Amino acid sequence: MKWDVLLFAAGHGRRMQPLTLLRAKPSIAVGAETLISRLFRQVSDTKAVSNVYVNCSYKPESIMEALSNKDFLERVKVLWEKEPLGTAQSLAVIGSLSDKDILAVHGDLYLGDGWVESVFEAINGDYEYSYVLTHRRQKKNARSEVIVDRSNVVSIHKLDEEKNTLEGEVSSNSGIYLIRREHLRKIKSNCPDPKEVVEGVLKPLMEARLLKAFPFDGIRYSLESPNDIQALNCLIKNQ
Amino acid sequence: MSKLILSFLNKHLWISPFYLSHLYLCRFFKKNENEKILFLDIDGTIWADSGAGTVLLANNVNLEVSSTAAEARRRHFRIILVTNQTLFGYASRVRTCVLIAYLINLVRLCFQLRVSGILVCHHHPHSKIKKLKFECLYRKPSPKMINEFKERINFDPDSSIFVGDRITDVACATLAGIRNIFLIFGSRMFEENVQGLTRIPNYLVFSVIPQGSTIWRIFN
Repeated sequence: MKWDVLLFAAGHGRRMQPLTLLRAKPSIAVGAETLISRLFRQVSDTKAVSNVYVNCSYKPESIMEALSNKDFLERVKVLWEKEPLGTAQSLAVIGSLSDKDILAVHGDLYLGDGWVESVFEAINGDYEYSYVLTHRRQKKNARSEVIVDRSNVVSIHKLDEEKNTLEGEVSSNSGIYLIRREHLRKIKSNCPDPKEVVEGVLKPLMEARLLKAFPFDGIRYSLESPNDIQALNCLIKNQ
Repeated sequence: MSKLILSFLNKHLWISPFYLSHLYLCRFFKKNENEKILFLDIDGTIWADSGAGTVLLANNVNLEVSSTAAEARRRHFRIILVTNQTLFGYASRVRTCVLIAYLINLVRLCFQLRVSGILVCHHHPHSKIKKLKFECLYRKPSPKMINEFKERINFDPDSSIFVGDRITDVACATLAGIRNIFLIFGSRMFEENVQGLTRIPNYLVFSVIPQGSTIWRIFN
């Protein structure tokens, strides 16, 4: 069964200021493409995906400009939010429109090609569970920790960047989630209050023992400060 | 004199000129069950929008709409134009009817497209005609014009389509319960000061039509 994809692109990207004063964070160019157009190309090139939704609110024209390739525009469905609804509520809106499982991806990620197919092959058959994708990260750089017991998620919590000076690695939230449609409908009635996807969707699923973690071992970078763009451009050049 | 012109229009054109109604339907439009309607915005959609009171000229038309319209006809869609066109807010009773007749014939000439009706708001807050000068609740993004139309013609909102060029068009269609909404991608897309428009809901979901393509490719 195919998935519908939701690319989150509504946020203000405050940590990326001043670059995000004139454009939304996913519309920043890294290498030859913008982050959102790269993600859009990756998810729309695969047979695993049916519809692609992009939510936008802050500087929506910059997101549309980044997707202004004719083929992209013909495939995208836009969820325009007057004020950013929050990732949990955006998921609830798409869940009410779509009859498919939803793969939700943060629009500011840089992911290696072919990731959709590999994730699809690995977890599509397991219809009982929703998934959060995790990656290994130095604890001092991680913003969240996902504790897993035999692939079941038992805890997701934020890490305080200033206090967190410990050595070692943790499993961190990758910003990619596969939410089954039945689960989204169950959550929807309880949801919209906690606005973020972790609090509003993942934690209720975790408490109901319906959430598993899938270790994402592909290329994944995220932009967290303006300096990261230069670093990422260097990495892409040397790949 | 005006009575004469009105009776002439009433007899020879296929509109019923009910002045200050928001609904002008052609004579052959009978009430059927589950009509499929293609709602088309006018300014910026079927021809280029050059600001308030755009003069409707044949050399200004967006020819991409003609292939969409031809396909709509093939698929048995009725075509309804929906507009807040400022010119109507400044026109007297007779001129309104003449303008509508002109508009319908222009569309027919340019697109070989038989329009089944027009939803139009005559009222404008800056109109020089006292009767028409107020902020009417029927103007887009309010769904009232479409809802009024729905009371007359029992159309199916799930298989109907709305095409516009502004976020206010999308809001109007969303509030009227139409799910297939297409926004022509252009410079005016998000330009409205949406914060000031209280009738716009918290979120809108729509598809985008890039320049040079028809909605059917996406709709399928």
